[in-house]
Amino acid sequence: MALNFSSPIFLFGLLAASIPVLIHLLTRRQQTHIKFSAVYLLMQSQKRSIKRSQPNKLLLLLLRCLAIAFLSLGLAHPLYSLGTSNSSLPTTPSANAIIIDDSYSMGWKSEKSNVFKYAIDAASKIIDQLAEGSSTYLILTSDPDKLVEGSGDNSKTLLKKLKFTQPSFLNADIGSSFSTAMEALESSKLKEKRIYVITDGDKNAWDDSKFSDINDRLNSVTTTIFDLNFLRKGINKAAINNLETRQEFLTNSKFVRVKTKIVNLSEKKSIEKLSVGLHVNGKVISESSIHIDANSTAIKEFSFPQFGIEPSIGFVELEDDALIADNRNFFAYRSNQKIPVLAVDGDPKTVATQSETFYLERALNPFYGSHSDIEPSVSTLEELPSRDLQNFSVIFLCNVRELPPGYEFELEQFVNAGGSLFISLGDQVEPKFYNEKLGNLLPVVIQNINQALNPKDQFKLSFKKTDHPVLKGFEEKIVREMEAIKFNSFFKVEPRIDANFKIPLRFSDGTAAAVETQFGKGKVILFVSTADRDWNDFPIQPTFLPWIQRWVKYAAHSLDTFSQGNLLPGTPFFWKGNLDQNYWIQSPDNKTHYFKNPEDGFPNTFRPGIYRIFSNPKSTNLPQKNSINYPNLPPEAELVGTFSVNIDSRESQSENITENEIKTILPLANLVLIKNYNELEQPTNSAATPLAMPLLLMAAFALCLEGLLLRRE
Amino acid sequence: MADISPSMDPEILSKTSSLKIRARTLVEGFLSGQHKSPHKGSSVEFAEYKTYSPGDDIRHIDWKAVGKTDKYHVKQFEQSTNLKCTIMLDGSGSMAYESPYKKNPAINKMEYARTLAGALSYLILNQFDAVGLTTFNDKTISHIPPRSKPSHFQHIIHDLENLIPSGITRFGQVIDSLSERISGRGLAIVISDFFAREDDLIKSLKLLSSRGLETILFHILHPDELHLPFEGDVVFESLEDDLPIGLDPHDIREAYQNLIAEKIDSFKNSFQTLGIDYVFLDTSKSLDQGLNYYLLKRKSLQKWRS
Repeated sequence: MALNFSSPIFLFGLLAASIPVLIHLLTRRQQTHIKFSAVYLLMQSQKRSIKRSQPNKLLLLLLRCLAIAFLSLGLAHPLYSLGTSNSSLPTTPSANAIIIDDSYSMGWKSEKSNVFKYAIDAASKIIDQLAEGSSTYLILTSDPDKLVEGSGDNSKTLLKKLKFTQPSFLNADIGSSFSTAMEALESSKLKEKRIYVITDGDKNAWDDSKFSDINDRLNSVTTTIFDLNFLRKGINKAAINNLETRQEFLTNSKFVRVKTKIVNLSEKKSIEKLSVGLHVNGKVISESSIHIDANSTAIKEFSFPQFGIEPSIGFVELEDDALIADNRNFFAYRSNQKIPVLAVDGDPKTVATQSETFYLERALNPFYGSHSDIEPSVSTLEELPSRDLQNFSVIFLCNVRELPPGYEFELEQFVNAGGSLFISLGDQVEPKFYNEKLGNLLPVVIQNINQALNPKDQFKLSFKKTDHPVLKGFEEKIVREMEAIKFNSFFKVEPRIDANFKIPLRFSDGTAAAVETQFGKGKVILFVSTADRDWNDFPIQPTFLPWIQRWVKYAAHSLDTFSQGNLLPGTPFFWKGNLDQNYWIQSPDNKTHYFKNPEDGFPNTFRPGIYRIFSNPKSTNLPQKNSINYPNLPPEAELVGTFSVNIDSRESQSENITENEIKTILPLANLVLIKNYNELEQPTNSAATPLAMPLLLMAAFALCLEGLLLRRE
Repeated sequence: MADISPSMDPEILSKTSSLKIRARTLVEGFLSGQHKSPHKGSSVEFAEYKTYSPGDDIRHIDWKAVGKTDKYHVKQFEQSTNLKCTIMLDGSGSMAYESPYKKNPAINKMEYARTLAGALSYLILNQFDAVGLTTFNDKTISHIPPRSKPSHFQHIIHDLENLIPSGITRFGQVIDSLSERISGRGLAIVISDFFAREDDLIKSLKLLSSRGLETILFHILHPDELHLPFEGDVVFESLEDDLPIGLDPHDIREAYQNLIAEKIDSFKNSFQTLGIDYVFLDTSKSLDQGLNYYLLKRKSLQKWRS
């Protein structure tokens, strides 16, 4: 039997009941004593008189106090219930671990928003009813290793916060939570030890293998399990348990195909019309209804065209049912993007094979098909001014003697805006022009030609272990092959003063074979030899093709861009980052996280949705550690990848665990299983009788009676 | 009150400290010596002739007149000193009531009664009648037998002045003992507030008249006892032996006023039936009302005698 208040703040109104008493006391008349002759007549008169002003005053006072008290109590919304919850709670100071199931299945609809809200209320109730001097440990099953400890206040603060949150998107791990709870209780000096589990009774959360460590220790603890499964309202009709994306190659346009598997969670009832919608980049692309037989899976496929180079981000959504969390599945797809490349031939020949760009063109697009990622165009020097550089990502200057007048500025602008310039040299090159006109772009000064007079003196490349994105991916065998390439001639280069550049490739004598520098948002790469066979035999080597393609992709920033498929919530995301780059991840709740070392993994994948990865060249004034909630994404950061996180739909196919099953899992525990919400004395329980209306009516009645008495006076 | 002569105004009278002076002032201002003894007898003062009729005392036949007129006439004389009047003054606690409000014009009930008793004594003695005084509460406090000597006034005044109201009122025993002491015809004047919790109050008073005493009852009440003018929460403490009672007079005023009015009416009717004269006086009223009533009564007795 208990009386609870939904809005206990109004109980302060009871203090107002003292106001009439105070007024009465303050305005009370002084009693006078008079010696009188006919007191017996006064007594007789009093018996005959119908007026009773003194008792009436007291009655009025009482009525006024009662009216205020009833009003306060009524507004506090009292709920009266006949329960026996006290029996499940200790009356002496105790150590209590409260395990709250915050798995996504707790988001199941119920009368009060969802089942999770009831769980939080139940936990609050337990904490409130604990004897003074008790200690409390709070554990959420989504994060079973984390423990909130307190004498009550800390836990209450957390519970207050949780009241305004939704359950997590993870599955419950009650076994691990038990381990954490036991460790906490065993460290407590209090003799009375209790574990409370507040769950929706989903069987998936009770993995018996996780209880093996603690089972023999549980006999010292009373374990009370509140199964709130009965609070669920409605049916969880269906869930998406798989989603795949791929590109269609059958047409000239780029189409992305999305294939989803949708499960009918009912074992008996088929779903006649289930509304399924595809949302891409914030727009509804397609909506349709499907039929799914009982206890079976239907496959629904969508396709949509992809435009531009940005990844397609979207989700497939089912119509609402009792559990919303499993009705949506996210995806991000980035189709292979062609990199437009302009190769300027500085030494064109009528015989194609003798042209400077012959090998380069073939290396970039070996099969003349649409499958290659690189789309090369060849231009002569004369045609160059008519080309719009903005249409290309990378420009090759192959053995170009000198550029049209003033064209160097256009190139600078192009690179500064994010384009990349790859320069290969040769016999046509006029170093003076390069050193004077392209001084801004080139960090080195081109000097004389280094020529091998004898075949024995031919130059060879030298590879050392490197982290350069272009070269680090080459296998040992390819490296050996590349070391065998013979170079007859190359231009010797000297660094400019204060120039900032890298030398990713060297000859065996240590001289630079390739120089790389950053200019604005773009890159400039100088290869000191020719791109054809005039000065070396590299173009006819099998390694030339991957080498040149990787350079193009690297220069066009597409080498490390990726789209990664499904991750489960809470699973860390790992990727191989570039040490030269800084990385940020934007989570679906629009928070930005900075990651110094991506290989450590990004752990904050608790929310389903699309996570965007951004990068920019490393700068020094960034935090030394990973940082959650980094204030702002740097403006120059580029989107380099995405990945999606989707829930594990195991708990969608919900089966309520039985008492016997729990007893089997916890054979040694002193177990109390409560499936009746009354026992928590929850005020919102339908079994509790609301007393607000009767109390308000009583307040009104008291006021009416008071008015009547006043009128009679 | 405006038509009251200064000598009769209770307020003015109350300021006179000496009861003797008060009584004499009151009577001398009131009387002009016109009153006569209502009883006729063999006094020295001739009154008139009366034709003889059988049964008349032959000693009173005026033989000189028989000789002259040959008719038998009997001489009649005024008997002015043969009235024996006993004043019974209630000395119970209830008579001590005085208003708690200083500005109340009505005088103390006991003072009023004392003055009335004194004035009546003086008036009676002035007429050469005999007057006595009995003070009582539940028993006789003091008794002065009736005398007609002028100096007797001094004794009465002394007793009146020394009377301290106390105790409860009980008429039965007092009247029993008094009626034995009073011999022959006479006048009994009872001055009281009649706040007696006796069921046989009227029966006791009836005993007086049944003994052949002419009885005048002066019922004296303070205006507060009539109107209950108090306000607020009041604890009424009894001047006699009742328990205190706390109440708001406002609640019972009407009932009390009705009760007291009923009581007065009941006395008036009951005593009228018994042939007892009943005079109600409230202490805010002039005392001459009481004296007037006495004189009227004496006159009526004279007529009755004649």
